Amino acid sequence: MSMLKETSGCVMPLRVPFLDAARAEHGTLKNIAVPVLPACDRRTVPGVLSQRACAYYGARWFLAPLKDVVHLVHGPISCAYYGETVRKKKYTVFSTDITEYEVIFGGEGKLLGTLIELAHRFPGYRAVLVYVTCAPGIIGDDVQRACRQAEQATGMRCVPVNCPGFVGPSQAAGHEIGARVLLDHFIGRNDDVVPGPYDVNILGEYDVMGDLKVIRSLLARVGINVVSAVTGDVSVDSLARAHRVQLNVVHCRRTGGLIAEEMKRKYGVPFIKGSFFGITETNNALRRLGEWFNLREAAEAVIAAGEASVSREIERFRRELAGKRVGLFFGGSRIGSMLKGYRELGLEVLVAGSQFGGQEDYQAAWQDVKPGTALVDDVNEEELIRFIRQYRPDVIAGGTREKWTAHKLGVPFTVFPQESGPYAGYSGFLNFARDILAVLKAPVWQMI
Amino acid sequence: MAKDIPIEGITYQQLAIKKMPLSESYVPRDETLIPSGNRTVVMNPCRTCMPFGAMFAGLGMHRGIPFVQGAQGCTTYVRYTFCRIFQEPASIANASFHEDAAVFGGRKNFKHGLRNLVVRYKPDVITVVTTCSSEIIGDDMVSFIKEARKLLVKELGEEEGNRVKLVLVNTPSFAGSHVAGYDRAAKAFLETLAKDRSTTNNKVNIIPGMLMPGDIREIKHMLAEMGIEAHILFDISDVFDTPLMPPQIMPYYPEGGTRVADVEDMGNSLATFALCRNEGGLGARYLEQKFEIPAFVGPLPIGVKYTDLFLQRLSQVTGREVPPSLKKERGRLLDFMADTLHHTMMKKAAVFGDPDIVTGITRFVCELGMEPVAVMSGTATKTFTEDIEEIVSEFGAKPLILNGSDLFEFEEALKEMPVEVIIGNSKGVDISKELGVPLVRAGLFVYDRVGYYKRPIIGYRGGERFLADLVNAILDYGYPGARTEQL
Amino acid sequence: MHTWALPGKLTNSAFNRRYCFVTDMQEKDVVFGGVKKLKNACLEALQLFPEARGLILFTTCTTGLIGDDVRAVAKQVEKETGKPIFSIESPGCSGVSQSRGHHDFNHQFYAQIRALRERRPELCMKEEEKTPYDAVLIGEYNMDWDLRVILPLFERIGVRILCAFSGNASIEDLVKLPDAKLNIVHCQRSATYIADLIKEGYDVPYIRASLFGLHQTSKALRETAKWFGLEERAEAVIAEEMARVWPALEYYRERLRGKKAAIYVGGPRVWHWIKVLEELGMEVVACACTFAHEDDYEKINEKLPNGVLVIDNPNEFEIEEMLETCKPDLFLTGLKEKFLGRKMGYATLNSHSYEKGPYAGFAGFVNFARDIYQAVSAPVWKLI
Repeated sequence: MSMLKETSGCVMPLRVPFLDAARAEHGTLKNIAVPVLPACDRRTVPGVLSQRACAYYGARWFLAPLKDVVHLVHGPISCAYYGETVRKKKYTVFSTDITEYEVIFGGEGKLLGTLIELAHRFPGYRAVLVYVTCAPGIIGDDVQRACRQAEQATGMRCVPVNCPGFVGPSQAAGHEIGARVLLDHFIGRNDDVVPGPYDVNILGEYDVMGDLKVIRSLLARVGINVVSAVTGDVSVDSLARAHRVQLNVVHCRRTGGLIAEEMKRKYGVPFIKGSFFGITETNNALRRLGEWFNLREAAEAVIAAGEASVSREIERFRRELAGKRVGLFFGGSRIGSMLKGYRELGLEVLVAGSQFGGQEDYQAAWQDVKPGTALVDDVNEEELIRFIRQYRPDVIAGGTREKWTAHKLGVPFTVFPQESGPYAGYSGFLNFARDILAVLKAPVWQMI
Repeated sequence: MAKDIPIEGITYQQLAIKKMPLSESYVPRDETLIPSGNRTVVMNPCRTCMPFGAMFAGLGMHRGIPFVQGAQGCTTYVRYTFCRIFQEPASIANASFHEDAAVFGGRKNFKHGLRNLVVRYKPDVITVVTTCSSEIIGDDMVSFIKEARKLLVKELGEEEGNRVKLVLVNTPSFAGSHVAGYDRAAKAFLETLAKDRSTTNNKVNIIPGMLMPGDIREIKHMLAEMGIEAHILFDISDVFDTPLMPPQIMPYYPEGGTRVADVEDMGNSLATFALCRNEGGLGARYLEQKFEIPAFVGPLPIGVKYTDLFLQRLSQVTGREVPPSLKKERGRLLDFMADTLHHTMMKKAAVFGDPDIVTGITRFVCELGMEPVAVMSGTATKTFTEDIEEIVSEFGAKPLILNGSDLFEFEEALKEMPVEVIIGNSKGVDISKELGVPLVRAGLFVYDRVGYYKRPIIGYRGGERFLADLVNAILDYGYPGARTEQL
Repeated sequence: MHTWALPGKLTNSAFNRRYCFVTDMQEKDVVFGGVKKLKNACLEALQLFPEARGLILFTTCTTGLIGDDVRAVAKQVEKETGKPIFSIESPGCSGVSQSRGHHDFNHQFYAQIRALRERRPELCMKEEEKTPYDAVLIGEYNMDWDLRVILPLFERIGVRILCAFSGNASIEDLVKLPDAKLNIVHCQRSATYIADLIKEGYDVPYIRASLFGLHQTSKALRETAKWFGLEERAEAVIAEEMARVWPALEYYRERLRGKKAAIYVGGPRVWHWIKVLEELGMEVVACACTFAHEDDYEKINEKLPNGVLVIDNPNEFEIEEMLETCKPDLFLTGLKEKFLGRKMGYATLNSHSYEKGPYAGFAGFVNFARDIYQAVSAPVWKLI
């Protein structure tokens, strides 16, 4: 990008050209001399077409995979309808179906009744999670009290998840609320377990399209045992003993970091960061873990075998993908590690954006991108279109909502969370590369 | 066993039928005999008889009844086939050949049969379809027709006796398949009926080939959007897909079909489009030679480029622009292709069926980013291999091309290669089951599922419809359940 | 291509529904004769499918007219491969209808198994395998798995059905046809010939039976049982089956009572169905057959009240007229005419190859009643 080269010596941070004037501080072009990060964690400007969601969405995203608990959505039926689907998987949820009557006279009674009914009908479950949505949040139902009463009446644990949609600037608030729920009500309840010498948890790993299976098997080959993956694979029992491990591995910082820090504070469990996306990142993570557990040789062996198994194909993909220009619009904290994957394949990252990333996430991304790359926060649809018009990227990566807009402008798109298969580890990285190549090569783009 | 039977009766689940192979272990097939070129025997043929094509054409005429100069099975089998595909009645008359006809010739059967048909049904046009037997016996159909005409005039008077048109189509099955039968019928109809009035009618001729009613409606839609009037030679759309609206006229005739007057007028059109090179091309060439009407022979407008080409040529011939409405249809197809490319890209597809539809579909699957791995035409044609090679070389694919082979070779070939979806007619069901690969139905012989004949696969909108079927089949088949709960 | 995978006739072995073999005669074969091509094709087919246990050659108009000596080819191939090869010469242009083909097949096949049994006695059933209760079903084609319903009925009485000619039968079983003690003839148009021939040649008697409807099925079981001296067991089976299906049939009888039906099928089915429809409380107002013979019509007349229309080999025009004059509630017919009836607004039922069978026996009768009820009471007829 010649435009950026000319300005790389400039002292002032450059405005990201496609951002709204009023949101200028939400974006920055990397300039080594002036390390300025985009403004983040702020409320979205009303009226723009933001890609962000609400706290309830975040709480469902985080807590949905929790097994052997009943998920009850306290609110109008519609929130439950949408909350059934998380990361394109369908889960069973229940709803209190709040109507006008409850809005006027209060929904606590109905909630209590529902809780008792659930406890009787599903005695095999270990707890009920009560998601509090906007309506009961505003009318001020005392969910805490209803839960307590239900618990006393039935013996079933009832845990409120206080996540009405209006809380916080984005779904990230819901992630945090979810993490707090796990910390306050589930983690550390069972001290009877003696941790195995190589037991770890992975925090912030959601098992998209079989990712967790890949990670588990990689670590198993090093000799490391994954107890819980929060929340890709957790049950009430596994959470109760989650603090009885040697180490926490933080995969997604934004959603896993809080739990890691709290567990370190409360139970003294140390944590390290590690990503399994991309060859280098996977290598680094395995090395760090090998180091920690003194399993260096095993780690090196797994790395060597993994690299060997994919190197030829990766080379081929790299040849075809080198120099292609990509715009990245992710959810949160994985922007840093994800964009490394793209760069590893030789793609040129034009912009790295996030819906709800925090300072730390942008810091990580900042370090990984070339000068001139734009870092942007909470990009809205108009800005996305402007980005496409100005930069003419070869391919964009992001969520399902942006995909169709990009298509209308004739730009191929790859979706995260991915749809085709695991992206984690060595073989997963091939899937990743193949998907990018597939969208780029589709003949349809030549016919437009 | 003594359980009461519910009012629902016995279900197929209750019957629990176990399929057993003839031998306990898999019997590998003798490799030297797998390619059809290496053997005489044909197994699981992918084409049918020549009279079938002529009958298909003949039914596409308004108040048209084919008259088959052959044994009763020659009619009954074909009627079964039409009924099974379209779920519609198909009226076809037969000369009822028996031993005496085989020995003495079919003159008597023909004359009286034709007379009976005209008296009872009062058709506008009769397609006289010959068969293997009449051709071998050596029936002189030209003189038979003259005699029959005399008989009709004698019995019904000059006007009524001459009213019905008689079109002879020679279709001995040992000389070609149903594809050739239709081709010959197109030529025969134009030869017999088309007249030069030396004034242009500002219309175009369309000879669609053996497409489905939905396809013909799609052609009409495109023509209407372009503002072009056309004669469609053999318009089966309102013959094989008719409304349930009793009381019906007696005897039953569907409302649709090409009018005799329209065929007569085809000698005065601006151009002829034979959408299928091998099904109607002869007719278009005939008009070109005889009346100097430009002929556009193939390709079938399936997918983006071939539809573009069809509209371009229409535009060029008539001077009418491709309207925004059709451009939007094109855009919608492209949008759909972009939206579904994750499910189509690099998918390995095998295509079989009649030559022109296979060529069109092969082009379309390439446009979808799929990789054709095996492409077969049941009927051998002069250009099939060349046509396919031209398409696939553009997209860098190297499929196995079988020009006029049987489904046995196709199946055995597929067993040796990775394939993810098969596109073809209902004859492919067993292959699909055996390989565990979805079959996307398209083409002429779809008789095991309902409604396919109603929906087009040609044009932009047909492309969308076909693409939806294709992607849904892929989603229904190999994808993990949790993955396909939401896209 | 046409004969391949016809609906209805089903088997456990996927083989003959899975593969279809053809010589693909070309113009030059017609001119120079197709014998060599046929022989090659047979040998190749058996080489490719070593698991096949025999081969049946069918001639068509083309090969019939050019006069290929198919029998000679069969003999040569049998000599070379050791597998029984049958040849049936029944070109399309012979006879007045498909009934001629049934006749041809019965006679030629019988002659050939007879010759084969003499030539290769090892293919006959061994004495020690025989029981006094062996029977064969003749003219039972396993439409939509009728056999699944029929076989258990006979088995429970104590009669062993060796095979059905020809439904779900293997070629080895069919060679053993004359080894039974009794032939039970179901379709009495297309297969009585072979029963007669076996009676003449091997002295095996036969009884006629219809297995459609409660009355006829019971009668068939009783007669078979009587022949074998198993009457008591038959009565027990009949009583049990009757009790099983009664409540379901009552349901349909109530709803179908007085409905009028027109029938148009091949031959004997017509008089099979008349009885059966009566059992459902329905009234037959018109009948027509494609290829029935005189004896069929005698039976039809016997079973019908006066004044009912009966037509032989009607054309479409006559079918239309029949429907328009009789205005039936239901038109029982085959595939080709079903759609014509439907266009005219009449409920139809494919009683050739069924809608959702089996229709035979007691349990199948409930399916039959159900399909009739579904056809007659579909809301669509009221929307027209």
